[in-house]
Amino acid sequence: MHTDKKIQATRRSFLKTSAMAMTYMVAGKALMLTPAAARAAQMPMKILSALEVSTLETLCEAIVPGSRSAGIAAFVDYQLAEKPGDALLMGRYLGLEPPFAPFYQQGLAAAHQAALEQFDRPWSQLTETQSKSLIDQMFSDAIANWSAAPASFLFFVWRADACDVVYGTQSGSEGIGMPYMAHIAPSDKWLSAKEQQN
Amino acid sequence: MESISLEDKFDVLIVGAGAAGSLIAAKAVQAGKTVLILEAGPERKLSDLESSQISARKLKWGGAPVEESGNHKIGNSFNSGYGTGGSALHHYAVWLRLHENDFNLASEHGVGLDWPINYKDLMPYYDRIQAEAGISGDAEAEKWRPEGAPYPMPALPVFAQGQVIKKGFNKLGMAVSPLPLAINSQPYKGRSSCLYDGWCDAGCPIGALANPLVTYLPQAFAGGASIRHDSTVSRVLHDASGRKATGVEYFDAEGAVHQVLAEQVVLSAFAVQNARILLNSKSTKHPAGMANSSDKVGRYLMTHPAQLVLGLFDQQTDCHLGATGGQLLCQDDYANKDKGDAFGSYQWLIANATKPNDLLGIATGRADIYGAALDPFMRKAAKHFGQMNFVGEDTPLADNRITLSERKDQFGLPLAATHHSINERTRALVTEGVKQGVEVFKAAGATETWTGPTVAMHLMGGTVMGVDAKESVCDQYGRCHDMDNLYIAGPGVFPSSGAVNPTFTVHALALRTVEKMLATG
Ligand SMILES: Cc1cc2nc3c(=O)[nH]c(=O)nc-3n(C[C@H](O)[C@H](O)[C@H](O)COP(=O)(O)OP(=O)(O)OC[C@H]3O[C@@H](n4cnc5c(N)ncnc54)[C@H](O)[C@@H]3O)c2cc1C
Ligand code: SF4
Repeated sequence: MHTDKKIQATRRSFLKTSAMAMTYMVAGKALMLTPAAARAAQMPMKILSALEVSTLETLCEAIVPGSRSAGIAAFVDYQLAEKPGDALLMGRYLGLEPPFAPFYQQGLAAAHQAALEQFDRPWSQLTETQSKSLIDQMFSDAIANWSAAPASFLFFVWRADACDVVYGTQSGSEGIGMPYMAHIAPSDKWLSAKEQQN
Repeated sequence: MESISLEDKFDVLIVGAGAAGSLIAAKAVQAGKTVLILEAGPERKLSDLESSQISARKLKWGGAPVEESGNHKIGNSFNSGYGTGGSALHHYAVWLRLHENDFNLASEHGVGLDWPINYKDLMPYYDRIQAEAGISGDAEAEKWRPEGAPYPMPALPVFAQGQVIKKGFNKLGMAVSPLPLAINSQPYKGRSSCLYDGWCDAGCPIGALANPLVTYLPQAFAGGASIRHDSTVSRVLHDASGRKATGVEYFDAEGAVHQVLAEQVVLSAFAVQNARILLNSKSTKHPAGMANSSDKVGRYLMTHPAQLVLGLFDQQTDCHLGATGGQLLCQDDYANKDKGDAFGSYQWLIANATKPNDLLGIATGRADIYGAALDPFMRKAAKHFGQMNFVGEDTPLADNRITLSERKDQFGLPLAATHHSINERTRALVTEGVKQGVEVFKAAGATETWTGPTVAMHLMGGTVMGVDAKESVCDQYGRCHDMDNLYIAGPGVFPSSGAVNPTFTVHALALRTVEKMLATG
């Protein structure tokens, strides 16, 4: 039987690129950031409003803990701004046609509305129990007056996006004990375009 | 009026740089023909194939949206690729032969369609292709395997996940064999051997997996074939008689229209887009679309109904190891198609290498686990997860079809609208099969078992081959009945789906096609 060790010993090293990295223009320079780094640097969003960002971050954090700091909002925002066909969101496998932004934004508006109706405050101000309650209701399509794609479908899509940023990276995979074993390793470094060439 | 630029003329013009198109290009240039490949998607290189389930999505279909309806939608965006290598660039390389009993559904069971050929006609082509592209497997252990040369490479190793699940099959008296994969278990023809890291879905950048970038495209380019990327073919052109294809029209990335002329034209743009191009090639000679005097273009669209059985085991499974396509195969029930309420063959692809995220990843199948419970589940599953894939036969139905939509793409071309439903007997086949899979997992000692939804796997049909020009689109070589020099290659020509993965057969048929073309042109 082959062991990880043996396999890793035979591993060839390939050119490093950035699977999750997203390019931002800052002061005329291209910055390559992972979603987590983009969040930490508070990079401006291209599509989502501040309210949409805080709604998405809070609900995703309740579904997949760790997704806020892993940069779920930066990841989704970046992908929504991509050319149709280039967006790397799992929704493209689920029958969503580009552009994906209206699907996400209508869903976030419906989630925001539900928080106001049930708790009289936005998601960012909900207690953990309150956000858990809303998430449970989304999962089972139990929210009345939901005016977007079915809540359970949005839940599924957001959960998948959040799993991408939390578990779909080298560090996320290794964090749960699954060796990543990349051929062409995705970078988790924050690189400027110039540094990357070096 | 749009300006049309008329370009040079080639002996052979190939639409689509995937599995079938690449092979035909290589063989045609080796026979001294001038060849041009037009590919709708972008150029892809091995160095683009990052090991990430997220960036893997960029390899998927990126052309005009495909509309889907029916009770079993075809999942075009997951099931199709785009750019150099086509879907085959990131396919999982499970290369299986059709069985003898797959070729005569109509005459043997009164269901669907017959092929115009039998297994014996294809066997020598399977043998030649496996020697050229390389398959690892154990022909003797595959007790269900039809006659043919043994595999050129020994089977790939079976890791803990496969060993654990195998016990369940054996306890129920069922057999398993190593899964035959077009993946090198040892260096083969200058290509390296597999490292068992399960990144096949993101594309194998080391050449271990027989994708077109390392099999037939290098041969095509070495022989002088040209390729134009970002070139979306819209229609096939013909002469005054209507019987001779003279070339094609295509749009480049900027939307400019071009025409290229050729002696022979091959449509190898995969099942859905081949039919779309033909239907869009309407003219006074071909009022219902080219090669469609039979009204069969677009019909008999098929996809294998597939369903995952998943579970957790006490034993460590190391499910990240191996190939995405799986480690083991079971075809115990393949010979028995007519099961009364249920119809069709099926197989199990066992112990697929699994990643944490993405459509086939660990997390996705358990949407019921979220919040604080998710991370402990993921940690446990990372070590103890196992899965296998039920792949069932689809019954060819005339009403499952590709038509042209009212909606248009960026070039003003009608979108493809697909309709695909499975009938009750196919549904029963899936239900029975999945029930068996759950029993297998229990027998293997799974502490928890769950199943995925029934999904579409592989696309076939839409331009079926047959003997009768009134009942089919093309002949046994893929030549359109209505045309002298227009050929169709790819799984679109299958008159029935069998229950095995189609790409080995796509290669075998494409080899027959190009040899016929070279003999006649
Ligand atoms: C994720 C995945 C896993 C798979 N795993 C397996 C497996 O393990 N075993 C197996 O047997 N099969 C597998 N398949 C199926 C396999 O990939 C296909 O059967 C095979 O690639 C079909 O070959 P093709 O040449 O007909 O089409 P493709 O390989 O898809 O090539 C068609 C090409 O035509 C291009 N094209 C489309 N429209 C146009 C146009 N209008 N103009 C110009 N170009 C156009 C496309 O961009 C594409 O590059 C898998 C597929 C996928 C997506
Ligand atoms: S598992 Fe093998 S075939 Fe698949 S990507 Fe890795 S090296 Fe390539």
